[in-house]
Amino acid sequence: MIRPTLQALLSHWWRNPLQLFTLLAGLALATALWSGVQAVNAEARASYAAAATTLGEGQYDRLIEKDGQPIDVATYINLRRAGWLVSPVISGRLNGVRIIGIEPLTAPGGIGAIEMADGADVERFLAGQGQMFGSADVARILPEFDVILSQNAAPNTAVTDIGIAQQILGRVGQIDSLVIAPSQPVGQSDLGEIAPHLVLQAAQSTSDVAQLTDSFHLNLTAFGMLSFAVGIFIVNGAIGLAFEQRRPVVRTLRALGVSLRTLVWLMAAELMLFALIAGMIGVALGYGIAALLLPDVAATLRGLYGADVSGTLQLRPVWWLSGLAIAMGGTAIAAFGALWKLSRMPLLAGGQQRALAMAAGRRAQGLAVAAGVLLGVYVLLCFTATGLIAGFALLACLLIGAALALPWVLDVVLRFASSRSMSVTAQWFWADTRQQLPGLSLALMALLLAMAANIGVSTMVSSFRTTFTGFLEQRLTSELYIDTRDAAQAESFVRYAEPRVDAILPIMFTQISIANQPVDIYGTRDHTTYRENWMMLAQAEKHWDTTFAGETIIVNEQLARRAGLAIGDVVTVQGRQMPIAGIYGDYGNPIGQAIIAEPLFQTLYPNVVTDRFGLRIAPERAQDFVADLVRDTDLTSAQIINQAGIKALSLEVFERTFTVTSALNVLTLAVAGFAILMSLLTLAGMRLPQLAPAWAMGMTRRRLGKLELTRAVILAALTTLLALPLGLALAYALLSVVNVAAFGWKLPMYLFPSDYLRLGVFALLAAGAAALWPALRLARTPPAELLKVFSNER
Amino acid sequence: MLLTVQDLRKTYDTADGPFEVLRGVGLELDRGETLALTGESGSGKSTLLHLIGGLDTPDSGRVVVNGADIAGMDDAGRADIRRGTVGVVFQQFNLIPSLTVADNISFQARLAGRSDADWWGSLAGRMGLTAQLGKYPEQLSGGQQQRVAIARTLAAKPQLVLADEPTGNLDEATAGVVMDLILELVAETGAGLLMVTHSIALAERMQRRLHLRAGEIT
Repeated sequence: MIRPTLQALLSHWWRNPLQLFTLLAGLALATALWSGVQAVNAEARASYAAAATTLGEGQYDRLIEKDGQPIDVATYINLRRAGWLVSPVISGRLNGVRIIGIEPLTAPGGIGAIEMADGADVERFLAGQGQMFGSADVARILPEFDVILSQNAAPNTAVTDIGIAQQILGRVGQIDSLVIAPSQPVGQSDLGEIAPHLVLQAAQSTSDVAQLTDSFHLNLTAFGMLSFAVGIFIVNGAIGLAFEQRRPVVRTLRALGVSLRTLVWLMAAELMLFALIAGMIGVALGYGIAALLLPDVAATLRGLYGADVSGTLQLRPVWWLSGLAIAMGGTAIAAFGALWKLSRMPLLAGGQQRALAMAAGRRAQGLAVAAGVLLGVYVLLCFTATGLIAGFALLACLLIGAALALPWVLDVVLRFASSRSMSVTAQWFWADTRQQLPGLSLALMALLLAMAANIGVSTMVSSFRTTFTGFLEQRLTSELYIDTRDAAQAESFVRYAEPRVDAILPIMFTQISIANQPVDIYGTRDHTTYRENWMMLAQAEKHWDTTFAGETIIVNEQLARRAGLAIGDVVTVQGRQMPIAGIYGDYGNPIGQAIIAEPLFQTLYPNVVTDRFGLRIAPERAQDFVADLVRDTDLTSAQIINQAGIKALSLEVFERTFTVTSALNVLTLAVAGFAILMSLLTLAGMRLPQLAPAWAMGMTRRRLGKLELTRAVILAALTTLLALPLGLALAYALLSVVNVAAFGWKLPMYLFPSDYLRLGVFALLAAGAAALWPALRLARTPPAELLKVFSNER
Repeated sequence: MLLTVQDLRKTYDTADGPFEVLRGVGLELDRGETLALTGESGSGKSTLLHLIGGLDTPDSGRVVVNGADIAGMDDAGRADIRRGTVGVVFQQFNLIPSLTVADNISFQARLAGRSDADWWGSLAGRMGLTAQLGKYPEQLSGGQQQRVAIARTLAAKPQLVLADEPTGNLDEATAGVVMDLILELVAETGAGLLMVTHSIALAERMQRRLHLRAGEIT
C-alpha cells in the first residue's frame, strides 16, 4: 500500500515540476541565508573561544583590582609568598595585534594555548628573550619579532613572556590580572588580609569579547531569521498550493482504501525528504554566502569591537547540522497548517469549493485577529521596551503583525476600488483580483517584509551616515596626523614641527577600566580645537576649564549609558576620584572613552609613549610642510595622514560595518521577488476557469495578459505603499531601542524620500518582470485549452 | 450473504436544520448478484452507497460486508475494507491525474497487494484502452476516463462493486458499451454489483431493483 500511495503522491511533483522547484528553491534560499549567517557567527564565536582559551577566561578564576586598574608587582609577590598559586597576565595591542603576556613557569596548563612547534626555542621563551607564538597573520604584521607559528593560536593574537609584553606595550611593572591555579595549598592566607583591593572574578562561561559582540551577532541572527521567514513564506505558499491541488487526489486515495493516518504520515515524510534535499542545497549555498561575507564581518568586528575573527571559513558540524535542522523545522512549521487541515477534512468534503471557501474565510479572520493582537503588543512595547531582547520582540511583533494584516488591508482597498469602478471590465478586474488575493497573499507578505526591512535598515544606515559624517567634520579638525615609529622619532618630530605649525596636539591614550567598563582614556592638551569643536550631549559649567585643570573628567555617551553615569558622578581613575564634567557623542565607537588633561595623564601613566600627533596648520601651508617634513626628517609619507585621508578611512570602516546588512537586505528582496514570480506562475495554471468565461464573452487573450500584468503591478504598488510606513516604524524602533541597547548610543532619524522612491520603482519593476512571463503565457494560451474549461475535460 | 444493511439511518445538518436522509434502510445482496438502486435526486441513493462503501459513517444501523460490520469501524478499518473488499466506480471518475492510464488501472490492485499484470492487460484490452496506456487522464475523453475508472475497480477483483451513476457523464451509445462491459466483467469475477442510477433502462438490466424515496426503500 505504501509504495503505490507514495508513487501517486510523488507523481504530482513530477507532473508539476515548477511547483517542486518553488518549494525546493524557497527552502534552499531560506536555509542558505540563515545558515550563511550562522556560519559567520559560528566562525566568530570559535575565534572568541580560541582567544578566551589563550587567556584562560573560561577555565580559571582570576584576581583583578576592584577599580579595574593594573595590579602592581608587589601585590603579586605578596600573594605568592602567602601561598597563593597565581600567575600574572597582561594584554594590549601593538599594530592591531593582541599581545598577551604570560609567565610560563607559573601559568596553569592551557593558558596561552601554545605548542612547542618546530623552531620553538623553549629556553629562549622561558628566558624572556623575545619569542612569540602566533598565527601567520601575526608574523606578517610584526616582522620585527621572532614569531613561531602555532596551529592553536587565536586569530591576530600573539603570546609571549610577560616581561616582553610589558616592554612592547609600554606598561612595565603592570599586571592586568592574576590567574588562580585550580589546586591551591591548604591553609593559605585570606585574600582580604594580603590584598584587600583585589577581587576574585569567577571563570566565565563566555569571554568578554563574546559578550561585547553579542549584540552584533544577535543583529545578524535577526536578519538571518527575517530572511528565513521570507523564505518560509514561499515554502508555506508552495506547500499550501500543492495540498490544495492534491485535495481531489487525497479524496480518491482515501476512497480507494488508504487510511487518513497513512496519508498524513506519507505526506509529512515526503516533505521531510524535500526538506533534507533543499536543506543540503541551502547549506552549500550558505557556505558560499558566508565565505563572501566573512572578510567584511571580520573587518567590522575588528573595527567596532576590537574582536579578532579569522577571515577564513571552516566547515563546522554544528553549523551544517543546524542548517539541516532549521530547514526541516521550517518545513514542519510551513506544512503544519496544511497537514492539520488535511487530517480534519471529512473524506467526502475534500473537493467541495464551498467548504474550501468557508475554510479560507475562517483563516482570513484568524489572521486578522492575530495581526491585531501582535500590533497591540507592538504599541505596548513601544512605551515599555528596554534592552536588546525586548527591542527585537518589538520588531518581530511589528513585522509579523503587519504581514498578517496585509491580506485584510488589500481586500479593503480592492473592495473600495471595485465599488468605485464604472465599466464592466473594471468591475470584473477588481472582483477577479480579490478572488486571486488569497493565492498571492503569501508572496505579497514576503514582499512587504523585504521592502519594510529595506526601508527600515536603509533609513537607519543613512541616518547613521549623515550623523557620522557630521560628527567626523567636528571631530577630525587637525589638518594633519602623524604616526611616529617610536619615542625617539616622536621626540625629534616634535622638535622639528614645534616652530613650524600652529599647534601640536599629542594623541596619548591607554586602555583602562572605569566603573568596570573597558575604556580608552586620552590625555588631551588644552587647546581651542577641543573647546570649539567637541559637541557635548550634557555638560557641567566650565567643563573644559575644570578638565584641563586636572580636576574633572569627560566621558563618551557609550560609557555613560553602560555604567549609568551622569554629570557630577564621581569615577576612579588610577585611584584618583574624578567628577564627570561632560558627556560627548562618540558615534561609531563601540567602547567607552574618557578624556583627562595631558599633564594629569602623564602623571598617572608615565610609561605610555606618545607616538601619534594631530597638527594644526593653515590648510594652504599643509602641503609644503609635509614636503619639508619628509625631506628634513626620517619620517616617511606613509606616516603622515591628512585630514581627508583619515576621514575616508573612518568612513570606510563605517561602510564595511553595514556591508553584511546591505547584502542580506538585497538577498531578502531577491527572495521576495522570486516568491512573486513563483506564485504567479503556479497560479497561472489554475486561473483558466476564471479567465475562459471572460475570453468567451469577447475579451482577447492579449487583453487578458495585459490585465494580469497590471494586476501584479497594482498589488505590488499597494504593498510598497504599505511597506513605507512599516519601514519607517522599523527604522524608529532600530534607532531608538535596538541601537541604544546594541551599541550604546542614540541616533537622530532622518528621512530619505528619493531612496524610498528608487526602492519603490525597483519593487514595481521586479513585480512587473515576475508577472511578465505568466502574462505572456496567458496571452499565448491556445483557444483549445480555454475551450476545455467548458467541456469539463480539464 | 455478501452485503447486509439493517435499519440504516443518517441525518445531515443543513441551513434549515437537521435533515434525515436515510430512515431505517435495509437491503441484502449476494455474490454474483446485481442490484439497481433508483430514486429521485435527494432521495439518499448516493448517501446509502457511501455508507456501504465505508466512505461515511451512519448515525445508527448495521452495514455488514463479507461478515464484517463496517458501521462501527474506525477510519483505518474502513479503509482496509475499501482497499480489499469493495470497489467504487464514481460518476466523476476520480482518476489520479499525475499517473498514467496504466498506473491508474493497476493502482487499487497494488494498494490491495494484488499483482496480476495479465488480468490488468486483458482488462485494458477489453476496455479499448491499450493504445492509451502511456497517456495521462487529461489526454482522454470522458468516456475513456470512465472506462479507466471501471478497469481500476475491477483490476483489484473486489467482492463488492459499488457504482454511483457510472454512465451519468456519458452519451447514450458510450453508456451502453460501458454498461455491457461492467456487467460482463462483474459476472466473470463473481462479484456483487450495487449500482445507483437514474436511468430506468439501465436499472432494468440488473437482476433486482430497489427504489428509494425520501430515505426509505419502497
